[in-house]
Amino acid sequence: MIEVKNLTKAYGNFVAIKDVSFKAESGSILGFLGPNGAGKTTTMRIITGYMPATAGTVLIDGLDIFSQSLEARRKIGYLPENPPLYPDMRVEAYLRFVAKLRDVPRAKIESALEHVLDVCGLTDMSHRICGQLSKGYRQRVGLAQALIHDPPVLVLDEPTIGLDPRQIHEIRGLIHNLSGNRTVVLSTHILPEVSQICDKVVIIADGRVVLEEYLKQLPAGTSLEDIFLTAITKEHHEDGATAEEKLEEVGAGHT
Amino acid sequence: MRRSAALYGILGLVLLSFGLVDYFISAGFRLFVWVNLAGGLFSIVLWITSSRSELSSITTGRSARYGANAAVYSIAFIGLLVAINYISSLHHTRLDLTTEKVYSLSSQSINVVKGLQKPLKLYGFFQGGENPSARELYETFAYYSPKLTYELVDPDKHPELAERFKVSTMGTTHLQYGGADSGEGTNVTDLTEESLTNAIIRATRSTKKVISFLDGHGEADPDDAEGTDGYGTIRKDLEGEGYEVRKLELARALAAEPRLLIADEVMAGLAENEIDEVLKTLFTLNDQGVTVVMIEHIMHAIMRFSRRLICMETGRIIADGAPQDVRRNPEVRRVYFGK
Amino acid sequence: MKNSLTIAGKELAGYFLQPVAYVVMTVFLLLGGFFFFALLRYFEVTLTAYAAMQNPEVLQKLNLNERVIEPMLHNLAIVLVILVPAITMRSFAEEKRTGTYELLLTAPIRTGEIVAGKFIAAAAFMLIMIGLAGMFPLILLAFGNPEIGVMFAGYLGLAFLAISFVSIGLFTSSLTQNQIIAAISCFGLLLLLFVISWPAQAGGSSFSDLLRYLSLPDHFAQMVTGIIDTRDIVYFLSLIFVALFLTQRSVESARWR
Repeated sequence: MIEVKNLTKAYGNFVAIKDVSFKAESGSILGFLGPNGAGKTTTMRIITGYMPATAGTVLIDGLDIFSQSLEARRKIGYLPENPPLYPDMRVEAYLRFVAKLRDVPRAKIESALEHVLDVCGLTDMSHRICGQLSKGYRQRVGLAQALIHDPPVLVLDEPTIGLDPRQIHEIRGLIHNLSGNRTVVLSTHILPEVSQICDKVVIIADGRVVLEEYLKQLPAGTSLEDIFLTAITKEHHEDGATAEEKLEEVGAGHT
Repeated sequence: MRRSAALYGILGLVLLSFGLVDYFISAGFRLFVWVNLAGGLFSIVLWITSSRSELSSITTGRSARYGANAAVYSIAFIGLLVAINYISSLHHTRLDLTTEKVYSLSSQSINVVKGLQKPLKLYGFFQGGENPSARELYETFAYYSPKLTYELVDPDKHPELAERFKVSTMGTTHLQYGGADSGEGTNVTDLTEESLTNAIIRATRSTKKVISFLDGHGEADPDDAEGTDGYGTIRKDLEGEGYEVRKLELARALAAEPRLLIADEVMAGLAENEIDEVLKTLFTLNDQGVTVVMIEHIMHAIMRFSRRLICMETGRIIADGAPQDVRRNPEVRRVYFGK
Repeated sequence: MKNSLTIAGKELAGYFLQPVAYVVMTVFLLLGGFFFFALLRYFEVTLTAYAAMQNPEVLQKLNLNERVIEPMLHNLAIVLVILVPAITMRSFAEEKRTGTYELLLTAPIRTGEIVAGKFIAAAAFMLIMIGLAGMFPLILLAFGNPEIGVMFAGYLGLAFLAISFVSIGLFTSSLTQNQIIAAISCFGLLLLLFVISWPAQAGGSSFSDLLRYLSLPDHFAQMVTGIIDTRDIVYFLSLIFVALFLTQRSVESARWR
């Protein structure tokens, strides 16, 4: 599981995220929702150890990503906003490379490779050169490299961006089947994605968390869209009402 | 505002480095250096004051600690490498892979160089203060002994050195053995291994050799040139050959590091133990390489001491050889033992 | 260690999947061949001229190594000053551009392993290139009688030189995303190492000794003339270690900045 506590990231005077906290349990999928520029990617990068936080901690299955970096990283499979493919490598060679870097035991590499190619629908594409793939397939290869070492924690940054509807449906189905006893965090600004596959939602706007809630426990009859819009315009409420209070208002208004 | 603050910082660093580099190159604090150092410091102060908030966030917290850590490690690492390089430049070995061993010295030259007792410095006087083949040659020599150092000099820039060392032609190497004030040294104009080795031999031989006269009881006086008992004439002859002569007591004789000691009847009037003392000292001197000529007639001292014995009678040498043989010489027995 | 080799393998294979590497190798060997040919011809001309003049003394002094191999190696060193930045500029800068930098930094590997892997690949590439340039001494050996020891020392020097160039190239590549900046700064640093002893005459004596020690061509020249001196080896190794150390620091800094 992932525990994020009071994460802050500042670049000089500009504060990208402030006091971001949330928890993602194993066996569940957490949707990290927010408009563009809210700080989703920054948070993902800090969680996976690519960037350090200015303040706050991240615990991956109890391991601190900053001080126990090497062990914590072992547990994570990460699909960044842009799939990290080497344009000149063939898909198979690339995945093998990632498998070795991620300490997949030699004997198991072949079977892991086969499995992941199958799961991501890449079996026919294994000999293609990464740079020549379409956006959809590149996304799939990115997902494949995140999965190849069977990590307990999966962090996916906008996994369906730029895909066509059919591909989006496939990927979402894929992700949904992945949860098992894994912890999955996916960030997106596409609302249906969250409502369709996630168990929990964390809404972030302007670098601050405005809502952390299980989908099941959201007020009945409210659409996620309303919640989202209310939550992200919180700053414009002069009475300083919290998102929860606003939600009740809206919920009450809809009955 | 932030951008111009950074500019101050950069300007400050640039000016500081100008000042530092000029200090090193012109070896001193000139106006240029002062102006740059002052301007640099001023700029840096401006930078600090105008970006205080940024700096405070930078200097505290995780980033700062790790940043400082990294800087310290880097400096330590570079310092370590500098030390290693320095040591390696002082102690190094080389492998000459040329079939003619062009860059190594012949064994005779090596012996000469390795046998240097005192520091020897080579001064090469060349046009513009630089000559790669000379440098290479000196380097080859310097490799075999830490006592051999060299320097290439531009005679136009340092005419006083050329004068002092009596260098008149370009391409002269001046060898100074034992320090700058230990004599005139040697000059050589040929840049080959052979001529340089010969020059070293000459330079190390040209220190004045000291001969000590031991003033015993009733010794002849080296300053006495008139009387028939005086060593004055010998002194004149010896001095004429470039040797110095000194009148000394035994204790002082040791301090002068003589190459040759003439001990004239120093045993006369000494008690047995005193004779032993003197003999002991003379033995020690001899072990150190000093040649001792003893003029004596105390037989047992002579027998113990001498490796070579010359016997004289009324102005003639009557025997010359090993002590045992001289002793058995009939003439000697007749003159000294009355047989 | 295993990770370094994994990365090294991928990098080296990657070199040969791109046209840059082929162009660099071709240019290097082509120029080498040209120098070799030109120097050898000139040597032959000089030889026949002195033979015609019946001048045995000078004839004896004419040396294949001195007149052909040595100048060729010096010229190849200069060529490397231009070629190495072209090869190393993409090593880190490209990763940052394609987003694979994120892959490497979020994988459970140490930054030291990343740097080591890239270094091994680049060094191996250089050794392959220089190894191929070894055909010139072989040609000489087949037809003449050059000194093997001297040629070996010269090529060893060139190898050390190339590997130190490559380390510096890795360093400048790690500082930026822009490949052009990486290439130009590498070129600048290499050139600096070549000319650093020029002001040596002007300064005071210990400062100019320092400058002279730092001068890369001086150390290289020693090896080219046939002397393998521990001082020169220490110099080149230090250069390599400093550059790699700084590269590692630079990559590591992403973790705490």
